[in-house]
This record gives sequence, C-alpha cells and structure tokens, in this order.
Amino acid sequence: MNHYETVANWTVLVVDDEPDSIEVVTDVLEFHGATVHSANDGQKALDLLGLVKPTFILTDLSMPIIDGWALLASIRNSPELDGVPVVALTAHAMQGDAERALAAGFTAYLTKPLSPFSFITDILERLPALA
Amino acid sequence: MSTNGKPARRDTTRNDAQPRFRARLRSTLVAAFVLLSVLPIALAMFVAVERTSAQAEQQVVNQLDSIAETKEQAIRADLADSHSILEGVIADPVSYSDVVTLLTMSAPDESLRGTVATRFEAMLAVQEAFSEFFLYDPEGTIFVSTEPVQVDKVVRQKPYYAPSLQGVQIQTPFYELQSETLTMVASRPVFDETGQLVGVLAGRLSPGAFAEIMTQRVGLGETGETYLVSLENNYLVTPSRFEGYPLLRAYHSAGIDNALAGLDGTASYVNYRDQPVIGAYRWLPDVQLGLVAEMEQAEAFRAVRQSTQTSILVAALAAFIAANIGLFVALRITRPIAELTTVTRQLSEGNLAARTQVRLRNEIGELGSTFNTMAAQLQTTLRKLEESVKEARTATAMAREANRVKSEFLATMSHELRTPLNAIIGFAEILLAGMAGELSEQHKHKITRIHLNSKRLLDLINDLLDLAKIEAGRVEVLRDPFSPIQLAATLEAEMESLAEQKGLAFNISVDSSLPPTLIGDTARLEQATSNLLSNAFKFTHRGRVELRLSANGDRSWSVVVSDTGIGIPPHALEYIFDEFRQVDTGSQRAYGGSGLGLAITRNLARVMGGEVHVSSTLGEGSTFTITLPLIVPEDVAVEMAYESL
Repeated sequence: MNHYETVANWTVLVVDDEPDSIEVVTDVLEFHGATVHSANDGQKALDLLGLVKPTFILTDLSMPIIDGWALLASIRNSPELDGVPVVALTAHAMQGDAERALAAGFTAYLTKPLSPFSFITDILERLPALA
Repeated sequence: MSTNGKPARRDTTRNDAQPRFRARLRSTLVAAFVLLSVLPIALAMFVAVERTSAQAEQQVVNQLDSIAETKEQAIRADLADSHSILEGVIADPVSYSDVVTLLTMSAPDESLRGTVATRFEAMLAVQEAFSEFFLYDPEGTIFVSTEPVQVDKVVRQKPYYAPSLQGVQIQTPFYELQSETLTMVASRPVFDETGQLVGVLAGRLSPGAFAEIMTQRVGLGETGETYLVSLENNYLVTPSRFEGYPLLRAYHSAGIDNALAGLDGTASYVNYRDQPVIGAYRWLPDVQLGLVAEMEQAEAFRAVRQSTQTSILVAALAAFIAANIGLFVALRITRPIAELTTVTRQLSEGNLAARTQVRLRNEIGELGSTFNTMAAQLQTTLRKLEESVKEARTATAMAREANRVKSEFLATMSHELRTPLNAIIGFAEILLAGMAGELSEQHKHKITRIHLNSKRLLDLINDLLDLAKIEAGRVEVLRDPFSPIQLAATLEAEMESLAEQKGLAFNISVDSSLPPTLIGDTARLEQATSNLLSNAFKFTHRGRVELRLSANGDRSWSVVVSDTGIGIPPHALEYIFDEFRQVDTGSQRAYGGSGLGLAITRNLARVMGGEVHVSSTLGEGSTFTITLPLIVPEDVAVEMAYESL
C-alpha cells in the first residue's frame, strides 16, 4: 500500500534518548515523506513543541530528566497542543504496560523492536484519523 | 513467647463462678457421707427399737401372766383352806353330835343351840377366811349362826341353797340385797348316823380374803394391778388400785370380757379406766371369777422409750460427726481440684507458665504433676511452633521479595534487550526495504541473515519472558466462557499459511460430545496449542497435521495435536518438555526455534489445572495431548442434563 501522499503531510516529533532508535524511526518516516523533528529528552521536546505543532508525537517512556509520562502530562496541560496524538514507542513490553500507558492518556502504544516493514501500517491502524 | 512470664490473669467473673462449682462438689460429698453414715445408724436403731419394744412387751406379758398364775394358785390355796376349815368345824366331835342332835330335834333346844353357837364363834375367832358360820336344815331355816340376827331366817331363795344340799360346794359371788355386798358362801351337807341329810353347814367367806391376795403388788410397778371380776353384773370382786372405781359397778374391757367369757390369754387393750394396757386374763372356774392382771403400756414401754431417745441422740451425734468428717474429706478432695481448675483456666486463657502447687500423695497429686508436665510440654511445643511459624513467615517474605526482584529483573531485562534489537531489526529492515538505497545481492543475503537471526533472538526473548512470567506466577488464568469450535477456527486461521507453505494436510475436528461452551482462558489455550501445532508443522515434511478437541467423559477434555512427522526417540520423551531441550543440538540447528515452546505449553497446561502427555514413534509421528478439567457454565450443564433425560 502506498501511503506516500498521506505521510507526506505529516510532521512528526520523535522523542527518545537512544540516538539509534531516533534514527530508525526518522529513516522510515522520512522515506515515506514525513517531516521529522527529534529530541533526545523531554525538555528538548517541550522546547521544540513551542516552535512546531506536529501531526502526532512518538515518544519513548524511559528517559532521563523528563520521561515520557511527564512529557505526556505537560502536553495534555498545554491548550495549544490540544488534540495532538501522543504515541508511546517503548521497549516496555511486559503484560500490563500497554494498559497502564493507555490509562495514563497516551493515544496509542507501540512496542520496540518496531518493524520498518509494517511501521506506517501500524501507525495508521492505531491513529485511523490520520488516514 | 508473648504469653511467657505474664502474670496470672485473674478474671473476677470467672472467680465468682468457681466457688459455686466447689460448693456443689463439696455439698455432694458431704450429703453422701452423711447419708452413708446416718442411714445404717437409723436402720440399726429402728431394728433395735422394734426388737426392744417387742421384747419389752413380751417380758411384761410374761410377768403379768406369771403374776396371774401365782394369784390363781393363791386363790386355790385359799379355797382349799376354806374347805379344811369347814371340815374342821364339822369334824369337831363335840359340835358334830350337837349339830346332828340339834338338827334332828323336832323343836330346837335353846341351850343346845347356844352351845353350838358358842362353839362356832370360838372356831370363827381362830381363822380369817370366814366371817360367819351358820347352819340350816334341809328346808333352809337357819338354826344357828355366829350372827345372831340370822337365826330363823330362811335361805331357800339364796343361790347357794339348792346346790348346797347336793354336796360340798362354793357358791360363786352373788349380790346380797340385805348386806349390799357380793357374797360368797362355802358349804358342806351334814348327815346323821344313817346317812340321812339333816342340814347344811355354811360359812360366809370374808370379802377381804381374796382382796388381800389381789392387792399384793409385787412385780406390778407403779400402774400394775390384779383384780377379780364377777359374772354378776361385771362387778369387781376385789378393789381397784385406783381411786374412784367402786366395786359395785359394771366394768368392761377386752380383758374383763374375755376372762368372763371363759378365755385365758394376754392382750394389749384399753382397760376399764380407759388406759391402754398390756393385760393377762384368765377364768377361774372354781370360783366362777375372772382374774385380770394389767399394766399400763406407758409404764411397760417406758424403758423402751428411754432407750429409743438415747438411740436417736446417739444417731444424731453420729450424723453430726459424720457430716463433719464428710466436710473435712470433701474439702480435702475439692480444694486441690479447685486449685487445679483455677490453674487449668489460667492455662486455657493463655498463661502457659501456670503450674499447680498440688503436692498430694494420691491420684489428685498425680493428676497435678501430670498436669504440670502437660503444661510444660504445651509450652515447649507452642514455643517451637511459634518459632516455626516465624521461620515460615520469614521464608514466605523472602520468597515474595525474591519473586518481586525476579519480576523487576525480567522487566528490566526485557527492556534492555529490546532496545538494541530495535536498532538491529530496524536498520536491517530499512536496508532490506531499500530505504537506504539499493543493495548488492551479496549484501542483501548477509543482511537477510542478520535480520532472521535478530528475529530469532526476539522470539527467544519473548519465549523466555513468557516462561519466566509463568514460573514467577505472574500469569493470571481467566475463567470465561468460550466456544471450542471458535478456538479451533482461530487456530486453523493461524496455521493455514504454514500448512500451505509446507504442503501438508491440516485436519481439524471437534467432537460432538464436547459442550458448545466451556469455561477457561481461551488466550492461554490458544498459546499452548499453537506451540504444539508450530512444532508439528516444523517437524513434519509429508503427510498431515491433525488438531482434535474431544471430551473424556464429564470430568475432562483434551486438545490433541498429532502429526506424521519425524517422531521423537524414546530416550528423548523424558526431557522433551524441559527448557532448551530438543531431541539433540543438531536438530536445534536444523529446525530452529528457541526450545522453549513445549516447556511453555506444559507450564500453561499446569496453570490451567491440566497436563500434557506425548506419545511418539520414531519416523512415524507424534501425538501431544493437553488434558484439561471440563468446566461448563451452569446453563450449559442444565441443558446437557435435559438432553440426557
């Protein structure tokens, strides 16, 4: 399936403390035409959010200083970011982790390792409003 | 030991209840002792009194009877004397000729009459039995009498007259109007030389003669008396011992009436004075009189009564002493029991240090020392038990902590392993997808190997985590209704592509005897079964793989996965379910897989309350059977019950 036209309109903020993780996601999204901004901690993400309003945010959960949970709380507290989907992309794949994240207010939950083959489909499945 | 060394708790309400118990035991013992001592005494006393009173009565009766006998003898003797006297009067030669002459004279000579009278008077003076001698002719006219006024009187009407002509006799007492007394007359006929009856010599017996005999009171005590009673109007012939009972009055009593009826005997009765008496009575035929000897019962039984009183006093004293001994013994018995009770209660209330001080050299003492031993053992046992519980608690806490650490470790490990894998798989796929430009065939091949191996590593990590989660008890088994047919369909869909890929037949069957709805965890079932199916497809190169769901009676059901694969050698059947064990390392290389699938399946079957078994023939195929408890929803069970009707 070719989602190029859809994905080309996306502006995605990727937040992760692992540069390799950022690179994988950035490569896949940019290959499909999306504009990608990245931050390697929560504070930088918040700084970036003052400049751009992304189509959605992909964030790791375990990060130093401001982690994914705190970042989500800040986003949900700023009215100008109202309605921006926040997707957790995390290596926390134990039973109950997804439930906890969705309960905290994440729009969707994806586990690492992600598969570049199916990544766009996975995103669209979880965020049908973007299709 | 929290209870150790704690002072004995004394509960006041309990203590109130305790003396009541002791009093009850004590009073029971005292009552028993008193009864046991008083009863025999009372019984013995009763028997003794009965015997004594019977003896006393018999003694009195015997005494009265012998007195009556003596008096009868005395009266006989007296009467014999009277006759001798009359004989003596007649036998006097002087008077006899004078008497005959006098009686045979046609006209009595006054001087001869005077001579005879003088002679009679002289004889009267020397004896006491008679108060008068008199002589009368056959017609009853008195010729001579020691009482001059009687001369010439006719005795024809007197009761003694007629019998006196016949022979010697004593007229029974009769009431004489002139003298107003009871009179007795003894008489003998007088004959002349030719034997012709010429008259009768008679003597009036002195009224005091029998009275003297009868008023002799030797052996009669204070109330005893003997008296004679006449047939004539039931008059007394001899005076009563007591005042106010004149001779000439009709008297009645059992004794009097029996004697006058001619009976001899003894009896207890109410006498003429209305007193209860013991009496002996007899009929004296010689004088036609009744003789009665009586004694008042009050006197007769006085001794008995006194001894009865003494006995009662002794019995009361004995009872009193017995009661005191009983009380003493009861206290001796109950006091240690009460103490034991108190200590037992203290023990039961948790004061395990409570010990009894009872040191008696008897069974109670033994009970006390046994109790102390028991309490000591209890204390030791409880202490050990508490120590064990404490140890067990510590062990549980440690196990829980270990489990928590393990879970935390698993979560961390999962996270840390996935993070680098994310990069490896991610970049491998980016390269393979051509997102980073075209690759040469050689590069593509190598990167494909990296990709496959990293996927395998991911599978291994996922399986390891699954297994660890099951073993850590973190797996929760659901109990929801599910459809076995739906389960089979899901598994079919899951394995379809694999079957197609390997060109194998995939047969699925669900027994009609299996209830349409079961209770269980469908996700876990699916996971366990799909592991078996994956293995079956992996190790089968031709033929078929079969999945069958079947009921085994109404207690269990089975998921059976069989194949026509390479089979498992017998030696491997033992460890086929162990972690990381395939048949050999070579097969692991040949077939891939983590070697954890069967271990996961077995562990899942166990957490669902079931078990997995395998049977296999090398080169022909294998059959894996998961057996699970059959649980049906209640409505399904009811439906089945209806169908079986």
